[in-house]
Amino acid sequence: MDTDLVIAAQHGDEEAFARLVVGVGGRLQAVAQRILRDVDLAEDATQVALVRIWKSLPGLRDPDRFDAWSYQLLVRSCYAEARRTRHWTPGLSLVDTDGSTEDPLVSVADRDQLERAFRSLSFDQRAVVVLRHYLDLPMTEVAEVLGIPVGTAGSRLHYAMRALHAALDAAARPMLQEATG
Amino acid sequence: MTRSEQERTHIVRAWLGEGGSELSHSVLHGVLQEVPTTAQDRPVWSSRRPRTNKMISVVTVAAAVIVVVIVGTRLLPEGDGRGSSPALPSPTEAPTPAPGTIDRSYREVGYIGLPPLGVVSSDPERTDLVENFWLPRNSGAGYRGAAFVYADGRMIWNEYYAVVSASTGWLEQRLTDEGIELVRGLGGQTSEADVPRRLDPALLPNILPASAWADRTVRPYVPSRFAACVFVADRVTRGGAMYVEHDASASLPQMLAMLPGEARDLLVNRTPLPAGQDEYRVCLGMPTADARRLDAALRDGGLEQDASRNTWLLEYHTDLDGDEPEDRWLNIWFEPILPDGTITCSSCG
Repeated sequence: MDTDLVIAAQHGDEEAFARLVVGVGGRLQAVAQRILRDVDLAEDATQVALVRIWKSLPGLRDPDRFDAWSYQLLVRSCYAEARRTRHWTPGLSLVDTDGSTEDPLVSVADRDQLERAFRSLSFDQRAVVVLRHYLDLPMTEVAEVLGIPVGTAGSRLHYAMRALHAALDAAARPMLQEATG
Repeated sequence: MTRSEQERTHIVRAWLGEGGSELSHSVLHGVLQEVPTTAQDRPVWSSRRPRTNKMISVVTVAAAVIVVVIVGTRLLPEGDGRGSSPALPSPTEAPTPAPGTIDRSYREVGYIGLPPLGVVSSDPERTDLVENFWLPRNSGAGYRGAAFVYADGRMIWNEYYAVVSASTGWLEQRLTDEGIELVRGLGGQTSEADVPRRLDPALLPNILPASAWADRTVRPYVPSRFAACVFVADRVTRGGAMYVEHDASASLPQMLAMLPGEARDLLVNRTPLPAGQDEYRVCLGMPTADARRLDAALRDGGLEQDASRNTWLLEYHTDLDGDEPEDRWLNIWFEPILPDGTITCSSCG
């Protein structure tokens, strides 16, 4: 993230903001897609978040904190989008995995179980998992983005990961049965 | 073959890493369109610096190119999309926004829900529909804009702006006979249930010549009657995914029994309107004065409103299972009854 662009955009420079959007927009949309697990909803949430970022940018006191601040606005937009539509129809437009980005470490069964387990998590749990394990943010920053105490963030992460680990165990079970059967 | 916690976490991280991380063109274009017309919130401590005109013009040109592309796409006939644009009338000579731009003042003209007290209803109450247009939403069901053109020249329309979660409310303009003829055939009278991509209702005012307008002034559309529509919905999890399913088995008496007493009394003897009835929702018609009484009864009865939805419709809901988040709820909301009896569904989608 280019701090000079942030500062210029704070002062109303629309081209600087356009460059900023090109630079950070992809990452924001990727986070939204991973939280919402729906491409269309994620696009809407990202667009809303980016316009809010533009609107609120002059109020950002520390331009170096732009990333964390933008994630905060994005997560709020995702939450609003999920609530506003009141229904997620993820079967219609899943996160795009055309195969080219699939990790060989993840089996088809793992992927299926993780998808199901992740969708059964609450919105707050999804957000904490994505911020911690996709963006690799430290827990203090995850807590800051979500506006919650570090302990609460840790607890949400613990329960969410427990559910995801259980899903992976379930995915491994048929393989185990096959091997021993 | 049990995996350690570390291995399982590693797999979760690998799975989260799958998929793209690029910004969609539609999002970028949408943002570039919004930014030039969205004022920044400036705190008192923030210093100001003059805008750079060159920078603005670059973004404006970029936005204009996008607008041309979008408008061009929308004006193309349906089908294979390769045909020539339909013969459209020349733009009016009156000072108008550039084609494709939305006049922000529309949002300040209309109202959401029920009209302010004392306003005069649009006249006449009933007339025949000539043409209508629907604009589908980018995601989910429903539509984000609609325009209805009537035999008496009224064009009644609304549009919802996803980026700012706001609606124009229902608005009205009046066409001449020539205007009616020009508009006829541009859309295609299709049903709301099968929303096609058609002309953007907010663009219609910009593409018609001055002679098409009997009164181009945009005014709020004030119907004489409103419909109160109601449905019950369940949030269900199937195959790990969450869905909302409307409960078609909930009968009108059952749904009315879920409402506060005073609201129920205002609805109980009304007959469902065929135009507002589909597989799950039931709409009951009433004069505006009764709609106001019902609105007050719902509010006083403790039904909840969702701030993020009430920017485009007047809707109440009540939790039926006591869970948080609610898994079963009843929605009740208000729709204008348009001059041909059409009742749109703002709450669907």
